[in-house]
Formats: sequence, C-alpha cells, structure tokens
Amino acid sequence: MKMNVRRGLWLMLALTVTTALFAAGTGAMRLSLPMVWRAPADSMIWQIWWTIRLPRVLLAILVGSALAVSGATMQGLFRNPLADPGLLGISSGASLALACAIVMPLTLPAALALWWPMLAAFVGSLAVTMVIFLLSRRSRTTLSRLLLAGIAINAICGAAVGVLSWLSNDQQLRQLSLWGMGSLGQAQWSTVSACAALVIPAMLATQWQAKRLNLLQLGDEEAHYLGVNVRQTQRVLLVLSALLVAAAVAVSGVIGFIGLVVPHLIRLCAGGDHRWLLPASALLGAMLLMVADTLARTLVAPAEMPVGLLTSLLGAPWFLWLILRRRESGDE
Amino acid sequence: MKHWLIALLALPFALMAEERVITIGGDVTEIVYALGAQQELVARDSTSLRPALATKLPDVGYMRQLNAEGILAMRPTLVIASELAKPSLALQQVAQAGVKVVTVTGEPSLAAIHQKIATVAGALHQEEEGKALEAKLDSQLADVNEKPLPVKVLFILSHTGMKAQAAGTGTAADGAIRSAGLVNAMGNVPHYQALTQEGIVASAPQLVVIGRDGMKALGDEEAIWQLPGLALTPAGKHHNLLVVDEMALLGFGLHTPEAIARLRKAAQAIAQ
Repeated sequence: MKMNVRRGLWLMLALTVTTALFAAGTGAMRLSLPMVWRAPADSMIWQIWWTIRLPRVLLAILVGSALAVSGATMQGLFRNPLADPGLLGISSGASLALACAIVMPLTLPAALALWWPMLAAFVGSLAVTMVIFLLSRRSRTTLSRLLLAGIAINAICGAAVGVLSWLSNDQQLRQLSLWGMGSLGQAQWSTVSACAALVIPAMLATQWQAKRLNLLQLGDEEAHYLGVNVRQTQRVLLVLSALLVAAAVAVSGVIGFIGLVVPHLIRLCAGGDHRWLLPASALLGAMLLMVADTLARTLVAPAEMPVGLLTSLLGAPWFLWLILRRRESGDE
Repeated sequence: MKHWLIALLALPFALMAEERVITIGGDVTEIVYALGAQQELVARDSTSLRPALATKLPDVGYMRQLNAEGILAMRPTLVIASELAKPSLALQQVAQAGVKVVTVTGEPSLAAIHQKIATVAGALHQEEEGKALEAKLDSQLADVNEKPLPVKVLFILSHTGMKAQAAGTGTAADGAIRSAGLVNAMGNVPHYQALTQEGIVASAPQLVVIGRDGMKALGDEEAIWQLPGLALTPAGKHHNLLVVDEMALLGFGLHTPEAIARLRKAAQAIAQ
C-alpha cells in the first residue's frame, strides 16, 4: 500500500509538472514553449512570457496548493469532511477589509495604489486569524465552539460588507463583486514571491504536523494518551491553515471549492493518512487551479473570466454529488 | 527609380496604417469614431458599445479586469484608457511591454469632455479633427443654458432585477442635473438610494428623468407612476416624464451636451 501511494505521489508530481508546462505554453498570445525557448532573452516574446505568463502559472500553483492543504488540514482538525477554508471566516474578514479599502479610498501614491487592495485583504484575513488564535487559547474554547465563532465572524463580516456595498457607487460595487469571484490577474514576480514566502514555509510546517494530525483523528482523549499535546497541535494547525488561506485570498480573492473538493478526491483514492493526503492535495490543488486559470485566460480571449467563478461552477455540482452519495451509502 | 518614388510616397501612409489602437472606456471609443480614426482600432473594452460598429471589434474585457496578455495578443501600438480603469496591473504590464499607454480623464463634468477630446486627438495625431470636434462641442454647449432654474429633478436608475433607485449627490446624474442649471430633488442624500414612499413625496420633484433602458426594465410609463410615492409628487400629478439615453446623459461623452440641453428644455417647459 505504502509503495503504491508513494508511486502515486511521484506520478502526480509528474502530472503537475506536465500541467504547468501546458499552462505556460497556452494563452491569448500565441507563445508556445519551443518559441519561448528559441527566443533571445531581450525579445518581446520572452519578456511577455517571463513577466506575464510565468508568474501567473506559478501563482496558480501556490494558491491552488495553499487552498487544498488548508482544506485538508481543517477537515482533519474538525474531523468533519465538509470543513472548508472559508469556514472560519478568514475570507470574509479579507473581503470586509477590502470593501473598506475600496469604498473609503485614501489618496495614495501611485506606487502603492496597486498593492493597496491586496494589502487590505491580507490585513483583514490576518485579523480574523488573530481572533481565532486568541479564542483557541482560552481554555474553555472547544473546536466546536470555534466553528460556531467562525460562523458568527462570517455573519458579522457579511453584514458589514453589505453595509459598505450599499454605500458604494456603481464602480466600487462592481470592483467588490469581481473580487468575490476570484482572479489571478494580479500575478507578477513581487506578488508571487510574497505569496511563496508565506505559503511554502506554512505548508512545510503543516506537513511536519501530519503524523499528529493522524493521531487526532482517533479523538482528543486517545491522542492525548498517545502522547500528543492536543490543544497545542490544534492551535498550531489552525493558525497554519489560516495563514495559508490568508496568503491565497490576499493575492487572488475568493476562489471556491478547491479547498473542499481536492482533499476528498485524494481521500477517495489514497485513504486518509495525512502524511500522503497533504502533499497529494497540494499537487492536485495546484493542477486544478492551473487548468481552471488556463481556461479562464483563454476561453473568452482577449478578455478573461474570473477563475473563482469557474472553480465554483465546476466544484458546486461535484459537492452536491458528494453529499448525495454519502447519504446513499449511509456512512454518516 | 519610379518604383522607389512610389514606395517612398507610400511610406508615411503605410506607417500610419500600422498604428494599432485599443480603446478602454466607452467615452474614449466614441471620440475615436468621431475623429474618424476608427480604421486604426483593433479592439475595445466591454463598456465600449457606441457606436454600434464598435461592438464588432474584439472585446478585451471589463475595464477594471483587464488581461495584459489578451491586450498584447492584439499586437497594439497604442492603448488609450480611461482614468477609471486605473490602477491596473494589466495596463502597467502592457506599458512595460513597450506599448504606449495614454490616460484620459474620467471626471464627470462638462469641462472634462474637452480634455478627453484633446487627449485622444493628441494621441492619434489628429489634432485638426480634434479642434473641429471641440468646436462642434462648443456650439452644442452654447445651447446648454446653465443659468439656475429652480426646477426639482428626480433621476431614477433602474435595472432589471433591482429595485428602482434615485440619484443623490456625488452621482453622474447629479452632475448632469447641475450642469443643466437645475436642482436635484434628492440633493440632500449621497449616492443612489432605494425609492421610499415618504422620501420621494418629501423631495417633491417636478420632473422625473429615467433612462431608456431603465424604462424598459420597469415596463411602460404607467409603471413609473406606480413606483413608491411618485404619483403624489408634482411630477406625478402632471405626468412630467423625460426619457433619456442613459449613456449620453451620464457618460460625459460626446452626446452629453445634447442630452443635457434636452433636459434643460423639458425643465423650462415646466417652469413656464
């Protein structure tokens, strides 16, 4: 079994690389990889590929894997297969901060204007992460209470965004709703490196906790007797997955269903061992988002579609099927 | 020798024809057509719906969600973009790829139309046509009487699937009403607000203005007087309704002076 899973992981890695090559060779411009390969480094073709398309593919990999790993972690943590990165209110915190930034714009220097929405979204998601962290430190807060707190945070932020969009003018409203549909259009090297600086360490740290996450599946008490510091592990994993979502949401807006659906797919074929589940989810998440983004970039070229719309359109029916199937097999 | 001469003569024309322009913003596209420079256009954004011919051009997307690669795929040499599209990473990347990007003001005022024409004409090297267009605009603006006329106007914004809203201060409709020297009946509230029975009765508009598309969304004229409170207002009692071209009145483009002149005329008829 272990041999098989390991082989599967290598296969997925190869598939991810293939997908990345495919995505980097497709787009509105006719730029195939051989063309880019042959082009000199100061040519227009190379410049466009290097500054526009490559960062975008890399950002899709980072965001896709961050969302999927965070989804897998939260599902493990809450021992609930329907947990989702949006559950704790992190993306709604981000959208509230973004709505504030859009509706009450400050006069900013041009250099900062482009970064402002991203910065605001990141601060918003970090603020919610902090709230969750502080709540989880209180000795009486159980995970189920935290879940309820997440629902409350979602409701509060949703209401506040509602007020702000009521105050906003036409253009601000449109900008807000576009953000809610998610897009990787902000991809450039600075965004990619900022995102990577957060996502890669957080993913490695999550992987390091994989064994303890497995033990947590037995129940808090059992895990405690097996030598796991349950509360500390929960807290660390919570903050890590919140950070992953924060990094993804800040650069790309709300991209739905990757975090929910990908871990399920992996569990179906490779079982629930988090040591394999986490890296496999990362790879599949990266692949799916790359494919979705390539579609978003090319379907309506020269314009583009919001990629979050595509992932939700494809993900939602799948989610429905998942629920119905569970009911039938009765393994509730 | 003869061939050379012909080639040399044809060269400037060939160079001119090689200019490939993308316009971002409905007002910008309209001005390019009015300048007669449409043969240089290769693409437009999704807000560029006028003139109808423009919709035949490839669409590079909504102006706040542009795609740099999509724009560059049209191999433009010049991108003329409304200020409203900024800040935009896509336009920055397009500029970095060596394409000239010109920004046109997005301010909702009559004075801005002159600026828009001058900027676009300058970018296209059509200064003379620009001057002619500005002169035409001036003569149209002369028709607009800006002398204060105390007629209270209510602009109703209505889209399918949305409650009808009244235009308050800080909206393009407010700018248009002021430009016509008239009074916005909703002058004390900001932005667009949902119609409330008492609010509308209290604002007591003498003239109701609605866009052609908004009218379609509501149904017919009768449906407008059915809106909350409207039947009890002076405008409702006399059925004073002006149906305008929304894009002309609110776009602050070439057709705005004409639309504002119509608004003024309708108000004057009521004042007498």
